[in-house]
Amino acid sequence: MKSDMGLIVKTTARATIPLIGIFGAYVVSHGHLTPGGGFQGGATIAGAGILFLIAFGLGEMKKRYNHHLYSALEGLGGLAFLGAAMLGMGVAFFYNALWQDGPFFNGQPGTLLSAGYLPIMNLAVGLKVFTGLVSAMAAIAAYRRWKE
Amino acid sequence: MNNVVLVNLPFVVVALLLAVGFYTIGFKRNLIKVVIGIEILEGAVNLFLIALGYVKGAYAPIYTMAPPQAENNMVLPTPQALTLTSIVIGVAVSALMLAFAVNIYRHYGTLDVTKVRRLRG
Repeated sequence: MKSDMGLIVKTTARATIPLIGIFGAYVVSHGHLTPGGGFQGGATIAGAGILFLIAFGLGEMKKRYNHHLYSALEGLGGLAFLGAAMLGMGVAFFYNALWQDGPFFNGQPGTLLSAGYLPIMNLAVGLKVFTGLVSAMAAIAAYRRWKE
Repeated sequence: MNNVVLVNLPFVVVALLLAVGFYTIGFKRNLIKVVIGIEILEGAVNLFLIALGYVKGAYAPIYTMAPPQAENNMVLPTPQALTLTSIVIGVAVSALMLAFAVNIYRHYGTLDVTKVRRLRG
């Protein structure tokens, strides 16, 4: 059974997947300033991945999707979140040491490099949500083994 | 807007969604429809949480480029954080339920909840 779409859908997907990815990266990186954040941006980028899966089919997805890499990245996102939370262990768990007297991410509130560990946590959550959702969709798509 | 029905309209919608969701879970036999009923329940709960935090005429709780009259006049941010957590949990639960549904279909050959009770294999 043919599992990819036609020419128009493929061309449109080639044009829109980078745009969706850039918009998702914007939502993730500006999570402490504008609406959005880790989960919303990660789900947006995962939408680009799912568009790739649907437009180009499972065979093309299998060539570019590495199960071990995505599992490792998902664990790395969780570890980065935990590491950012542990930065201020001298005072308390989740103490925002970067914001109080950190070397970076302590700019004027409202600018991009502010809010202490929040951008790091947004990036970690975005990475985790993106890899988790893409892995789940790839696993469900690869599961079609029942008889016709 | 001071009409009592119009003010409470979100909660009426929440009650309707809860009724629809419980009816779907209780009386539908297809497992996919049961999953859809649980999703409707989650939507009702999320709408309830967001409607609880509403302040009349208030602004979104974002300080970036906020107008001056938004000072001390924002809707409650706590239910929004709760709802975001609830949405994440809902996505995870729905993915797990749908994966179980696929597994049950492969194992039993049917999605009817009254026919998947016998032990097999």
